[in-house]
Amino acid sequence: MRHLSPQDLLDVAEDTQSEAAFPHLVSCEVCRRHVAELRDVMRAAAVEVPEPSPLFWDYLSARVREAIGEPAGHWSRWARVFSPWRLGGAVAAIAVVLVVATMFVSTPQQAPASGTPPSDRAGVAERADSSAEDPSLDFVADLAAGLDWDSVAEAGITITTESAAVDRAVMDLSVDERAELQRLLSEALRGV
Amino acid sequence: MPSTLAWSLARTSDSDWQMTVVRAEHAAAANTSGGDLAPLSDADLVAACLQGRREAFDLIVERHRRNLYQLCYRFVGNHEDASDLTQDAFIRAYRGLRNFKGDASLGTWLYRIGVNVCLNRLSVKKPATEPIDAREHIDTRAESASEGVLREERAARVRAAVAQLPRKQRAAVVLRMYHEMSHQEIAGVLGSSVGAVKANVFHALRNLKTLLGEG
Repeated sequence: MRHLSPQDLLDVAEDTQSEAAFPHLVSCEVCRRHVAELRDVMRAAAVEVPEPSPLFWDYLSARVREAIGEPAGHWSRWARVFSPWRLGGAVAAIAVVLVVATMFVSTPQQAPASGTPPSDRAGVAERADSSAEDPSLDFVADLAAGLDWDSVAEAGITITTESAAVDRAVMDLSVDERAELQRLLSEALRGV
Repeated sequence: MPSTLAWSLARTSDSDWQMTVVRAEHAAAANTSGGDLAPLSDADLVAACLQGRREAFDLIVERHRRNLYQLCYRFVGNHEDASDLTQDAFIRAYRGLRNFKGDASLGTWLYRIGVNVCLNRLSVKKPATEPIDAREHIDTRAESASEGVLREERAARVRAAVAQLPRKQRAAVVLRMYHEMSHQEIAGVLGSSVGAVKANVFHALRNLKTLLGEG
């Protein structure tokens, strides 16, 4: 006796055709088992899609509306450059370079220039001491180790450590300011 | 990005807040979608859009976004990819609106685009399905904590199993099981025959049985 084909088994399992249309089923345990197995899998696989946030739907519509307002290809190109994770990486990279530069500029071995007034020498020594003890700089240095610099370059962000303005800004950071920079870095990386 | 805080609040028992959100959502949709377009059929909305009324497409998106998102989610198993694919599908639909002939429903036409977008994505990379503790916003107030965990575990296993199916089998079983399309409609979406669709569904179910350890 000829067993049911896969298509027939599926039709019976899905109830698109009744079992009565296939008299073979009455006498064939193998085919009845196949039908039962198909039905078991269909029941087991009947799971729902997790419902996203209620705000997601309007956000999706807004994204589509914005995208179709751009010329073809424009949205995807700019989205790749200015996607949140790339921007976050660029912001973090800039901040890390500023702080890492501080580590090199404010090392304990670095002596103030002979021409530096005594009051400024004390200030430099104070910052050097505080940077050596500041654990936030270790944290930032660890963050820098994991940055994707290629992504930063692709995003068009270039950093020149030769900039005197950057060096001055770094040297002027106090302990509180470095703590604030650490907080901003953490936020930016969480948002990526 | 949607406010996760707002979504969290929606999960509380503050029904007044939820009602306010629903009313605001409908009001916003009415304002942006053109009140006079709301009663139109999908085919008429397409015609209106082709005549330059872009808000008609907003209404098309609003009507079909949930189904298209769920289709994409079934394919890739995670919210981020599903969201991107849904957006891509609607953008392609907008740019190809002149190709909509009306021989099938707009929903079926959108499904066709969605399936193609998902299959193209699958051919490029294998999406990661969401783990058990991924956020879910299903009304679970009636079930116990252990039932909820079991439900989520089962859902995650099913998502992972579907994700391992070959592309054509995945497409056929997703459209058949989760979107209740007829074999004929699925054949139209996939560009294949009814016999091939049935064969793909059959083999997909057999593979799922193995992957899920059923029986």
